[in-house]
Formats: sequence, structure tokens, C-alpha cells
Amino acid sequence: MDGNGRRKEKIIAVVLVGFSVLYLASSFRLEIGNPRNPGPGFFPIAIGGILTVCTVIHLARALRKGRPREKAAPSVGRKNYRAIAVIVASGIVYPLILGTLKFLVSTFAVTFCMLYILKPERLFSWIFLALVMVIASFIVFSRLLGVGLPMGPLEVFLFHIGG
Amino acid sequence: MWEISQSLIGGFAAALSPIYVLYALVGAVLGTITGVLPGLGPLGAMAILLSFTLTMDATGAMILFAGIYYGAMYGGSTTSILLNIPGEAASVVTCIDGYEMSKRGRAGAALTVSAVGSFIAGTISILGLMFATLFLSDIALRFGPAEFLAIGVCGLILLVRLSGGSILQSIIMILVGMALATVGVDFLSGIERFTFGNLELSQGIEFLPVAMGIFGVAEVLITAEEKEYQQPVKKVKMRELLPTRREWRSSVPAMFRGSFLGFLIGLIPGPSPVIATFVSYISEKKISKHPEEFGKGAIEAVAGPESANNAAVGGAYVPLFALGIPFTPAMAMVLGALMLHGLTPGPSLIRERADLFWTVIASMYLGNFMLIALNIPLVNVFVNILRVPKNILLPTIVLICMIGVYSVNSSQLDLLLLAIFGFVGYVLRGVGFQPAPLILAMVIGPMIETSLRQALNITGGNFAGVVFRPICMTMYIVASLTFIIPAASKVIRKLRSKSFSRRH
Repeated sequence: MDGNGRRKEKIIAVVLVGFSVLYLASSFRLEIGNPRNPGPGFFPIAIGGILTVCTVIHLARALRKGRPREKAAPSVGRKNYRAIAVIVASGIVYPLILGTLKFLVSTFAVTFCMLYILKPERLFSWIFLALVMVIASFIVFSRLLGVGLPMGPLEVFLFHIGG
Repeated sequence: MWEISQSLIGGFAAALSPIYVLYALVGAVLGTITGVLPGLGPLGAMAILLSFTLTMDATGAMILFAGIYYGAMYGGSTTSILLNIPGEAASVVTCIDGYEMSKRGRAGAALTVSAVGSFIAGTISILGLMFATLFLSDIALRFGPAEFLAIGVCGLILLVRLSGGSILQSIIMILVGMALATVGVDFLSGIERFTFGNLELSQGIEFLPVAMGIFGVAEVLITAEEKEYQQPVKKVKMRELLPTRREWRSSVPAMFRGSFLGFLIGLIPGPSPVIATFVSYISEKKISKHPEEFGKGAIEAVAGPESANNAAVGGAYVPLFALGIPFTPAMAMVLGALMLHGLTPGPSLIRERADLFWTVIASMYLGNFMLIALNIPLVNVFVNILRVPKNILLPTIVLICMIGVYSVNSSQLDLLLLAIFGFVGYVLRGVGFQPAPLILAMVIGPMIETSLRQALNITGGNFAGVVFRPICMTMYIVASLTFIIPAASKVIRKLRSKSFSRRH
């Protein structure tokens, strides 16, 4: 693993310790009960305790690894982190705008963003393709499969086309 | 025996209804496509389609998933042989000799042997699944909470041992999965846990967005990370598909060996189809009269592993149908689909919903026929799928995931969880964590907690009474041995090498 990978490993190890400590602390608020009649906190405390120990050991191991001795070989191509960021952001933004903008507009927005970030050269092609994908998915899922998607005036209009 | 044949005939009668034949066909085609596409394995396909199984009945959902699982095993070999790209993990071993055969102009023969081997293995494993499930479910009817606790715990222990990678990382993933499963209302006491006052969280963290995020979206992110590169697609001529007599003679026994081995390995927890291929490859090399040909295009090295990974699929269904416990992530998806339809697999399901069990079994036979009929003549069509540009394929997958998750509960929280777990899966896999134990623990965790609390209640808080029962003790000892034996052999090896160096 190269220096960047080691740093990532350490950050994740710290996040895991944080998660386990938070989980264990929250478990103590629940009633433990007794061995004869274990309460709702019995299992979470056991899980949280073991998880905390394991994540601390994992963190210690990650810290002990230190810096790599040799300089890592350069990776074959640059990784497309912008695409990762946009896809994750689209996934987070989508539920936030879905209620207000309804299905067609919000899905069009995130689909276009993803298409564009993966190949930025063909702007108008992606606008057209995103439009086709969104309308096709609405027809397939809402009309054919009966999935209940958020409907606004646009969706109602599209839903009733063709009777 | 008479009863079994009657039930099977009934299963065939139902499985041959047009709608189930259509589900089997769709599953087989989708499975082959996902097997062909590197990155998107059967798990991703099942995760993406999980929510859409709600539009069909439980039997239809099972038939679709079985088709996907088997189809992926068939499809995975195609790209391994033709392009040296394993479509999914269970086809990695096929690359070694399959691609060598392809370089020597025997790609067609390798593809035929792999398809026929998969068909034989599929048939043998379905027979094994039928009898093993009936036998095991009879025994499981006598199990109490302590035994189910032992099965759950031992399953997870074996999973840690066999899932590969760091043991500590696997344990952490299991515990995180169990922790996530505790969110929501505790159904024994009715008290809310870790909901932080959120009404939607009181229903618990749904399995679907987590599975779709960790396997579907994370897979998309990993693929999106790399810049596009398209391998030139090879064509296979129809007349090249027939193996020579010598090739048949070498491969048929390997197919049967791989089938039996694969089925047995499929019964144990972990990524059994992957393990089965490696074990089959090693054993074929050991018993071969020409081990020097391995790695240079030996046909047994294609026939054995390809049969083994298909047989392992049938084996993996046994613990799910007989005990209600999924031992592989794919089986967790099958369990998820059953639970979406309000069904809990286990020993009682086979009695209460015998129609479902036998129809699924019969449809597996049909699916195998469909796969062999589809895969050999249409090999060039499936390989052309690799030509679909990833910048169109990836947004389509994300779109399907988002609509799929939303369609189940119309919940925006589920959509948010999908994105979060997609990113979590991507990050964790980047530093070597395997997400499969997390998913399995999320499914098995609640069963372990309920069994533990019930068992303690029955024994009056006596832990020894929960552990020291004949069946439980046997299982705990077997599970412990998987850790003790490798550790002991390591110590013995070290001591031997020390005494050897002292003498010299």
C-alpha cells in the first residue's frame, strides 16, 4: 500500500473507533436487564464492547505501519475522483430535491450530472440521453410496474398520455 | 421417494407455466450479462433487482434470483476465456488455462466444456440440494434457540476464517453489521434503540439500501474511478465450439469431480463458489498425469473449476432453505427477497410452502437447460455487451438503484442510506475491507440476538446451559478447529525449522 493508501487506512481506522465508541456509549443508555431476562441493551453493549476493542487494535496496527519504505510506483492512470464525488453528491442531493422537484426534474438533474461528469465532451448528447432515460424509466416503473413515484403536473401529464 | 417424485412433478407443472418460464429466462439472460460485465457480479444484479421482485410473487422472485446466480456463473467464464477478464470472482481461476486455450485457438472448445460442465454441475447440485435440504430441515425442526444461536455464531466464525483478507477486518465488518441490525424497535421489549427520535429509523435500517449501496453503488464508484479502456472483443466461430475426443475424455471426469467438490464446499459459509474453483483447480492439478500442462491451457483446469462454481451455488441454497440462515451474501439477497414477501425461510417453510420449494427446484432444472441453450450459440452476442460504454452503463445502474430503493417504502431516508452506504462500501473496499461479512451479519445478527435472549430466558440465565449442549458443543468445536489447526500447524512449522537450523 502506498503513502496515500496508508493515510486513508488510518483515517478509516479512526472513523471506525469513533463509530464504535459512539455506539457503545449509546448502548449504555438502554436497559441491560440480567442474564435471566436480558434487556434491549444487553446485546448492543456486548457488540459495542467487542467492536471497540477490535477497532482500537486495528487503529494501533494502522498507526504502527508508519510510512512506506520505498516510493510507490506511479499508478497507471489518474483516478477519476471527480466522478466519484459527483455520483455520491447526486445520491445525497437526490432525496433532498425529490419531494420538491418531483420525479422527472430531479431524476433528470442527477442523471445528466452523472452522464456529464463521466464524459464531459458531449453536453447536448447527454441532455438528450438524460431526457430519454428519465422518461423511459418513468414509463417503465410508474406505468408498467406500478411503482409509486413522486408526481407533479409534468408527471401527471406524462402518466395520462396514451390513456 | 415416491413423495419426492410427486412433489417434483408438481413443481415442474408449476414451473412450466408461461410466467415462471419467462422469469427463469429473464434471470438466465440477466445473470449471463452480469457475469460477462466485469465489476457487476450476481450480487450487484440481485441487489439492484431486489426491490422489483415486489412486483412478482415469492416463487417468481426465487426463480428470477436462481437464474441470475446460475447465469452469472456461466457468463463469468466467457470473458475469462476470451479476454482474460474475469466477469466475477468465481471465474478468476478459469482465466489461467481458459485464456491460454484461447491463445492457442481453442477458445470455442473451452467455452463448450465450461458450459457443459456448468450444466452437469448445476444438475448434480440441484439433486444434492433437494435431498440435503429435506434431510437437514427434518433435523432442524428439533432445534431450539441454543442450536440456532450456535449455527449463527459458527456460521460467522467460519465466514471470518474463509472470506479471505484480514481476520480482524472481517470481525470488524461482522460487528458493524450486527450493530446496524440493532437500530430500530427491539421487538422483544418494544423499546426504540439508536433511533435518535427519528420515526423512520424506528423501522430499523432496511437491508435493501445497505445491500444495494454496498454492492451496487460501490461497484459503480469503483468502476467510475478508472479511466475508460476497452479491450478488443474477440469473435468465436461456430465450428470451433466442438471439443476434440481427447478434450472430452480429459474434461468429463473433471466435471464430475468439480461438481461433487463444489456442492460440498457450497454448504460452508463464505464465498463458496470462489473457494470451490481454487480447491478444484488444485485437486485437478494434483491428480493429473500431466500437471506440467496446467497454466498452459489444460482443459481439466477449465472443466473442473467451472463445474465447481456452479455446483457451489446449489450447495449454498441448502442452509438457507433448511435452516433459514444465509451463508453467502447472495443467499442474504435471496433471504431479503423472501422477507419482502413476508416469508421466513427455514425448516417450516418447506412444509408450509412446499409449492414454492418444489417450483424453485424445478425451475432450476429449466434454468440450466436455458443457460446451455443460450450460452453456446449466443456467445458472441454476450461478449458484445462489453462494448456498451461505461459512461452510459454506470448512470443507468445508479438510476435503477435509486428508483428500486424508493419503490419499496417511498422513503427518502432509504435513498440517503443508499448513497451513504455506496460511499462507505467504496471507501472500505479501497483499504481492503470485505463488505460481504457486514451484509451477512446484518441478516444473521437479529437471529443471533433473539436466539441468545430466548436461550438465556429458557435456561434461567445459565450461559453454560446455552453452550454445553451436544449439538451446540460439536458446532463450536468444529468452528474453533478452523482457527486452532492453522495456528498449530504454523507453530509446528516454526519449531521444525528452528530445530533444523540448530542441527545444521
